[in-house]
Amino acid sequence: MEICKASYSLLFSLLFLFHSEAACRSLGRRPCKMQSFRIWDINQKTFYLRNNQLFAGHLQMPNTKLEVKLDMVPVNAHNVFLGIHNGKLCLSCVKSGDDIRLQLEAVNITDLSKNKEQNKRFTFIRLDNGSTMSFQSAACPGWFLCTVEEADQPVRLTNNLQDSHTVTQFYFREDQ
Amino acid sequence: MKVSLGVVHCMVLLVSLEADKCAEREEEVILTSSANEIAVGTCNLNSEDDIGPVTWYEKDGETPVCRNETCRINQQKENIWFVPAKVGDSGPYYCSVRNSTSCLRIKITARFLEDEPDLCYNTEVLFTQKLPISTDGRLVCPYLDFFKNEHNEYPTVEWYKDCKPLPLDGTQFVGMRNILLVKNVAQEHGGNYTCHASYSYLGKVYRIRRVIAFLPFEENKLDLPVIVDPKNETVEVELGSSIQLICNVTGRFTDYVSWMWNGSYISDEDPILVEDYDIFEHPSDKGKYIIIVMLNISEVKSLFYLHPFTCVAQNEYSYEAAHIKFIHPVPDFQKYVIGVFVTLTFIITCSIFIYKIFKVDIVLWYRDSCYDFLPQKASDGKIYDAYVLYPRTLAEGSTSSSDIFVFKILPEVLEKQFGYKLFIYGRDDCAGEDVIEVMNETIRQSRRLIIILVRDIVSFNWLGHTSEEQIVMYSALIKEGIKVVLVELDKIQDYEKMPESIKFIKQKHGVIRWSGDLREGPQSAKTRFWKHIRYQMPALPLSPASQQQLLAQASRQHYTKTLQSEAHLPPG
Repeated sequence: MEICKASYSLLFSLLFLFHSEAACRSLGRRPCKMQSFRIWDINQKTFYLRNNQLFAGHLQMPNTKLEVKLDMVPVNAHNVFLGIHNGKLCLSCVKSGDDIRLQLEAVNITDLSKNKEQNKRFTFIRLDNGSTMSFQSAACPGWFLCTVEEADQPVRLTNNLQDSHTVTQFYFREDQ
Repeated sequence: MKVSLGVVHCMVLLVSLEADKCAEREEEVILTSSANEIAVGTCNLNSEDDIGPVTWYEKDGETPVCRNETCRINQQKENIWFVPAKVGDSGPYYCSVRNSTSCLRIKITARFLEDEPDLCYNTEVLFTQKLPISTDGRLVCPYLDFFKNEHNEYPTVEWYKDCKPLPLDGTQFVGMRNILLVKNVAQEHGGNYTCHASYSYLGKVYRIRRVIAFLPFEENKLDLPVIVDPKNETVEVELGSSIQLICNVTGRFTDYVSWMWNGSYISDEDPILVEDYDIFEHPSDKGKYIIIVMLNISEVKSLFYLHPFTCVAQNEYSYEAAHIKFIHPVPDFQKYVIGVFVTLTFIITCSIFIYKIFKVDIVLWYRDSCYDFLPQKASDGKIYDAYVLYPRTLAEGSTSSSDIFVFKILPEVLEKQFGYKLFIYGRDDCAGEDVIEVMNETIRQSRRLIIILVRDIVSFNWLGHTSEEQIVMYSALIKEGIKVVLVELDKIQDYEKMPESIKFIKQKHGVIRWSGDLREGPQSAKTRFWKHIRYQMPALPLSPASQQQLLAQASRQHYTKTLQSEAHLPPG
């Protein structure tokens, strides 16, 4: 039994090795193209992490180092996976009953596959609005990534685009 | 007394236990604010931390903050207020939340700074805000929510740029609540903006300022992906063939390049359409990449001619597309002509080859089937179809193979089966006639001269016993232009000793070699030998009479017995 376990762990480690060397699974043979972007809403709130939760607020000079950059992997021309912390935490839409929540999951963005239904919650549809963008969850249609008007509140999802207290438009600029 | 002491003891233990249980967290976001203004600190709780009422503690971590609004530092609802903040207030403050089971204490650092000399702010308090050039956008005066009035309205905000009042003329800048709308952002709009608001606290008006470093930025619109190849083109593609389409894009690393057909991306599961990718740095344009997306089509379907294959390249700013349309190939006339030429050459070569092999059969078949339709030639005045010249046997009483052939087989086939008329000296001449005269006369009256050759060199002198005979023969050959048919009864290897005339004829017309058995029964006229003989003979229709004779002969049972007696006929 111990031998069996050992061989399994060897197999898993081999698989892991293989995957770490392979391209992003979401893209098939396409070369892995994860890129970091600076994101801030049209009310100038940037993203930061507070106790493993994504917040949006105004960061002053000494705090700008806390700014979280959004990592993006294109799934196809419109759909993307979004993550933070070098793609180690991924944004997802989770439904529990009537409640729809934005969640950060400890999944490597390059391990996500676009063909797997269970990975759909990580998929966001990128909508270009000229100079700004919005992100709609593919798993939760009609629900958009948003911040609220008030600063230092968690980043969340909304299905009410008319609500003046929520902001779904983001500036999205390649981090250079 | 002992009891009460014990209760106190227990309470102290409980408090210390509770204090031990309290989880500690340090807030990373440092609250930085200008001194001598109202400052408000929040407890910065996560959603799941919001478990109970908030209590603020002074720098020592033990003294709860005054809850009286007249205190300079006081707690209002869940926030800590500094009315106003002093430089000396800088330091850590603690807020804690607790319920019956858990406790969380958060350490929050506050810094209160005086303005820098010659500046209306301290650079440490700057908020950085960015807007893309050539768009309309907002600058936001942060953290004014605490100062909303009872109608939930923001206080009036005045804007300054680089410490000078900013005129809100409505064309470039529009003030709205806590927002400064900047129209058509330009590089020169950049600078340090200060927003001022006033707040009345217990009858005293306090100033609130926030400083924003506004950085207009150029959008990387110039970094649009460029599709180098294809360029909206049509290609001739053979139905059912395989083809590779290449999309070559120069752009950024993250540009999305893909093939589409009929409005859909290429599925990873598609068995016929398979995409392959390559990306490498641009050799001359630094920071740019060459993205190659290949579409391998293993079998061109008829559907593929209906819609073009489109390569799309896009990023946040643009969408580029270029297509390749398939058309059926136009027939290539050059290839067509070459094909026809090669085919014709092949057919002609084959025909020539076949004719060479089956020439005799073809000519005979033609004679047999078409003779009746050909115009009848005028009579040439000749009596015989062939004069048969053969080696006459010198020894009396013996029968040579040539005698059997000449007197038995040759007439049997050519005369009886095919209706030719032969002159055979020793059979058709009258006794006492002069040999030379007969030869001279009959050769002239014959259409062909059949010369029978045997291996025995001694027999060659039959070609002319006398010089007269030879002269007759040569004159017949030369003057009459008579066609000669050479027949070898045995294989003759050495022609050196043959007369010159024979060598000449052999070289010119060839020789027909007998291949059958002279003593065999009825001769089959279908052998190559007879076909060659007939080919050399004049065209003559196969008469019904001769066919009947052929049948009659074939039915004869004791043919070989009669052969001997017939062969004994004297040659002359």
